[in-house]
Amino acid sequence: MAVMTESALVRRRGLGRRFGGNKAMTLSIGVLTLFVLVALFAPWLAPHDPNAVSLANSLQGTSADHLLGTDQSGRDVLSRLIYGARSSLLGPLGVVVGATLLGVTIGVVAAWRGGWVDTALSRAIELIFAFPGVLLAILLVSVLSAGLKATVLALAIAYTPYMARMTRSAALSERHRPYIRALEIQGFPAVSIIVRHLLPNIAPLVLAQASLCFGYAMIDLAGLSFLGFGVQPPQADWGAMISEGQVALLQGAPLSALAPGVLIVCAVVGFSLIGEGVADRIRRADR
Amino acid sequence: MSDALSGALRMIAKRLSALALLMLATSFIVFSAMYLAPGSPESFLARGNSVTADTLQAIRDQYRLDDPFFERYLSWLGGIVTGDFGQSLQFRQPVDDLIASRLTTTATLVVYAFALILVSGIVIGVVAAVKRGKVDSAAIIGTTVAMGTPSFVVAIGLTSLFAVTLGWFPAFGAGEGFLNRIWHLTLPAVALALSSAALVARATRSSMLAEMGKEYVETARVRGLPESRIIWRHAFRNALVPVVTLAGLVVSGLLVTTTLVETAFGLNGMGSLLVQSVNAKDFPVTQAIVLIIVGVFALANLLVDLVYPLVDPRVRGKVGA
Repeated sequence: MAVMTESALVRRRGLGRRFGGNKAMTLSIGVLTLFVLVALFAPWLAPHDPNAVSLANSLQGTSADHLLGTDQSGRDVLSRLIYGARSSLLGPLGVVVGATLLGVTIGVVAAWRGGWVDTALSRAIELIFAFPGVLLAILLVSVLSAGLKATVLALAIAYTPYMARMTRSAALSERHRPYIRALEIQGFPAVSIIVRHLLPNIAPLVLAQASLCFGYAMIDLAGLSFLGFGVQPPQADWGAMISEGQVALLQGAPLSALAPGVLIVCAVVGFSLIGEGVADRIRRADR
Repeated sequence: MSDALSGALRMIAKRLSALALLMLATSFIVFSAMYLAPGSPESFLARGNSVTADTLQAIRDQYRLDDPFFERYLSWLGGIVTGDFGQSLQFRQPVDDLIASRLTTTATLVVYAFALILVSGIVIGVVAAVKRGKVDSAAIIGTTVAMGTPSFVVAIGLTSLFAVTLGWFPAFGAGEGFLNRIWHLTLPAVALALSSAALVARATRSSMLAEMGKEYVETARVRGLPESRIIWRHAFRNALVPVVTLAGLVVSGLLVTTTLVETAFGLNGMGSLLVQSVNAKDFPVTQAIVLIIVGVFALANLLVDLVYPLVDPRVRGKVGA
């Protein structure tokens, strides 16, 4: 890890050039961009009201009017998928942003200050590591109440150690490089050295880690919604839709449960390919 | 040897005390979380019925809800040390009995899934590393998708195909008797195992690739040893170390994922009990299961460190360090 972060990070290149090339990565970026656009423009794209219940139309197959059929309550599956993209993407985004802000702050402070600050922060991080993310979320839900906010908050805390550990080791190897020393000797304040020089240099690593975390956060959040702890019905969400579609699935109408499952898999695989791709580039540039 | 042994013992003692400290911190976090929770347990116990102040007081006395925080924490902790997790609010029976009755299903499921993970993960990883080419590409694509597929999505996919359409396996229940139980738990075990098996396959593959490129493998080939012997007796032994580390992490992750799989397949295990107890605000059960899962999590990591010397003789002398 320490070796990997050494020299690659001194050279800074535009994000655009980092992303090109790799086919799997290009495809992933395409698919995820599509998902984001669908989430943004959901009201214009959805053919039906996602929450319009019509029991007379329960569990219809695919037709021109309902391209992916209807669910148990007669709601249009395609429209629910389109609207569900919103909470299904916003939730993991909240987790990753929270965990990144918290983790990078902890990691940089621990690496910069060293000594007892480092020891104390590292111990705290280890304690959180002992809690699996989903378990922490379940614990918080049982204390607060079920909902997207509580689960996002819990997962942001649970994912912080991953960001903090990575940032700490990357910042530690940067910390002792000559350019940082030179800036310190010139009397620049620590905050400005960190913000203007150290952070931009570890940014690609943070980005790769954040992208990997996004996929995992999506799996965990969808799982929590599946258990009924996350997004609450009738709001459309891919994880919750799978749970709602289970009864229909057992009756031989699997589409309303399988379709959101496929979308989750596409999104998660996309994010992990991007994360691996960025990490790969950093490693290759290092050689 | 005796030096190594005493070193190992010292390491175990150190790790066990760290484990005890972790469990203490966890128990405190879990207990205070439940203490701070809004909504009072006695209103749940009264089940929405309007009860007299006397009855409420009786309930408060029975569960010692009026005692100060630390007194309650210490008595709860004292109970746990002697193996008494208290009374379940929703089932009105001791938490220990409740968990014990659910343990068989969860334990069978986890062991079954773990066996699937190790066997399929290692075989796929070794074959991909040895054959390379198309087999390798297929393995990489397959494991990438499998790693990105959440257990409950696998669960509904399997249910739809093998239970509803083909009717080969039951969609619900845990079954009675050993064979029947295995039959019932096959789909849940596969759902639980898939993404972890892919992870193990990946780790095995890259570890095997690194070993197969080393000089001793070349030497063994030059000496004319059969290829299968080189792969399994030489390269694989050395490639196993990172896989063992991962396996420890995986088995502890399985316990959490059982909540999803058990819910998806309607199994009466510890995971679904956790979900039920959170929904019912049955705090004593929630506390107990969270504590058990964190404990197993930590214990699995300790076990991995203890198994290391068996897998890799090179670290035997350095255990104490």
